[in-house]
Amino acid sequence: MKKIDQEYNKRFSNQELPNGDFDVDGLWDDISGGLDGIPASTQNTWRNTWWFFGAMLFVIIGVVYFFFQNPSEILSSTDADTKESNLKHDVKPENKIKNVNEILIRQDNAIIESSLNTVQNKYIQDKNYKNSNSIIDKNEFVSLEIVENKNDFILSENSIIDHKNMPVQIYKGNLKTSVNPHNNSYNIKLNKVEQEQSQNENRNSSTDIPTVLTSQKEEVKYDYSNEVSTPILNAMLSPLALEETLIYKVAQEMPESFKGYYEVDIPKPKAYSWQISLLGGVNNSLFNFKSTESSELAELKSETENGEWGVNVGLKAAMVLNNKWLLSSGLEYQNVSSIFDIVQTTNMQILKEDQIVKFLIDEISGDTIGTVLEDVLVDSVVTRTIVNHNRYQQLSIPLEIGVQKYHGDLMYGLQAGISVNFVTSQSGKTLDPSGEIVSFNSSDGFTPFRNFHIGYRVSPFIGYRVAKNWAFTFRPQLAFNPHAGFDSSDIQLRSSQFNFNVGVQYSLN
Amino acid sequence: MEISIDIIQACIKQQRAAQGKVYKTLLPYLRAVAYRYLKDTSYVKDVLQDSFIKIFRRLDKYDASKATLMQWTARIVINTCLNYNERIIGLPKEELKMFKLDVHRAPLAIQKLSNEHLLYILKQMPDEYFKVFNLYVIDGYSHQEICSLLNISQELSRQRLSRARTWLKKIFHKNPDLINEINAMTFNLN
Repeated sequence: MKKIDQEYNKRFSNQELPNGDFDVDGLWDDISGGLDGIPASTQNTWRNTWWFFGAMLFVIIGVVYFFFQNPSEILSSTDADTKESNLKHDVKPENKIKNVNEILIRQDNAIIESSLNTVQNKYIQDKNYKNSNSIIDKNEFVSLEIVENKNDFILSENSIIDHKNMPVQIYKGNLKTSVNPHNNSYNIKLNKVEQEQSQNENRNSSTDIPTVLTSQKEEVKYDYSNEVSTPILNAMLSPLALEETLIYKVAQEMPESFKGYYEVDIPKPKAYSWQISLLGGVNNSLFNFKSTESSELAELKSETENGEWGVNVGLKAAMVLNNKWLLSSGLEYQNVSSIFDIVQTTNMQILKEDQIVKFLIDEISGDTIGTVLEDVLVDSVVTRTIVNHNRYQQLSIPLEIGVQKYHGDLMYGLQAGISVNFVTSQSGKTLDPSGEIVSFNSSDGFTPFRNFHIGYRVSPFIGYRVAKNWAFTFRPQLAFNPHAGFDSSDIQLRSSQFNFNVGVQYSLN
Repeated sequence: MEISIDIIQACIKQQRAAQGKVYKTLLPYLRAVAYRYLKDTSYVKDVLQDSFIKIFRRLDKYDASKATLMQWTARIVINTCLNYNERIIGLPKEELKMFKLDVHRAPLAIQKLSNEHLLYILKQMPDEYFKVFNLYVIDGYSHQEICSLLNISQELSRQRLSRARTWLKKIFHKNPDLINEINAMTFNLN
């Protein structure tokens, strides 16, 4: 007996089979594919992960290129961009405010000096202080000084002096521009100066004083606002390189008396802006099968297939209307997983050892004199549990509308809409119409997901702005995907999918 | 068949190059194991694919103090084969009735048979015997290990081994019909 054991052990215990014609590389390709999480045998162009991420990168680059090619966005993007732009343009304060984007930033001292000069000239022209008999030294006649932090300025006419023998300030402005693009809150003040002056003061009569406001306590208040005409206002504002939206706000907040003089084209603020979001997260699904004719089987299918955690990634672009309403679309990749789990009883034959198959009976005495034992196959009911992890991969194009609000740096809102879904692959096990367990893949007729289907989704979101244009977001989402066909007697899947995505959002203003 | 710790560590980090090296090193041995355990050898490629994926995914659980890498990987292949035999192929009902023993013929010279012939004979054995014989005699498992692997008692393991030996003894000593049958066979290991 040991001879047989030894022979088998000797021949097989450390046996190695030469590779020969065995497809070593082909098997390794399959194993590599399996280690990547994708069965190599079902790979195609759509299921190639690298291809997919390459396409995503292409889309991202395309979107970024598109938006950053808009010249008006370039100017408003960063200070650095603005400075660079300034080098390409001459300093030409124009009367038309709509051209101010071509003017330099206010922090530039050379520009400030230019502003002073321009405003002085304009003021002199406006007041018609042209005297053929005399040469007016504008620096003596009118002065414009930038005070404090270069955002405040004072226009004074030297020919009008107060009781302290100082030039009267006729206009004082503040152009501090802490622009918040999300709620249009501009910190801008244009204040006319109400100068108290003694009635008995010796005044220069060569200047017309348009309005006497009050005359109490022997003091007179003068309103010089009407003295500042459109060219002067333009000259004051233009060099300060205000954005169009900012100038619009200036015009809105300027004193009423200015408005009649202010007859330039006032650009309105943009009615829309863009947001781009990159999202990633996990998903889980509820599988609910329905049928009008095979309700029991549909119920069984619902019980045997339950969701597992899958992953999502996506890129979305949203148009923001009036800083509030959202229209968004994009591209999402979803890997949905489920577990197919069923306990099945089957009839099969199993081997029973040493079963009595025959009794030997003494014909004469009727005694049992022996038995015959054999190993026999007997029918038996076998219970077995079949577990399989099903995989579904799909690309989704969402079309959503929504609303968003800001509360300081906190952002929140709600989006809802439809998604057009393209299933790129699906594989696993399910029950066929007769209730038998069958394997399915993308190409056969037992697939639970329809290759093309439209779903509905709603997504509240919350975000926090961490920089001027950047925000982190959290977007839970509920999606309902009815994989409905034309024949309602078929068993149809209606899956509810829960997505939990986090991401970053970039705002293009 | 030397595989260094560094390569194993690289495999655990899912570095494909290292995994490919281990794959090529282990393949000849594990392929032989799969051929030996599978009742239907057309599934060898599937079994090896599943097995290598399990090996590379579970390699971080490998404990070198308990078994060599060959033993550990062979055990994964064996388990996969046994699952395939039971779940996909099913029990070989027909084969159990293949041989009608003839006690009057001359014994078979085991040494004259090729590996393929010996393996063919082994696979004709009732499945329960086949598993125990393979594990105990060829792969050197103890009855304790076998009972945990097959979920049977040690006593039953010993009993099946004894019956497997008896079955083989009858085949080799008293069944010349088998000679004509297996001599007519050709084996394709691919």
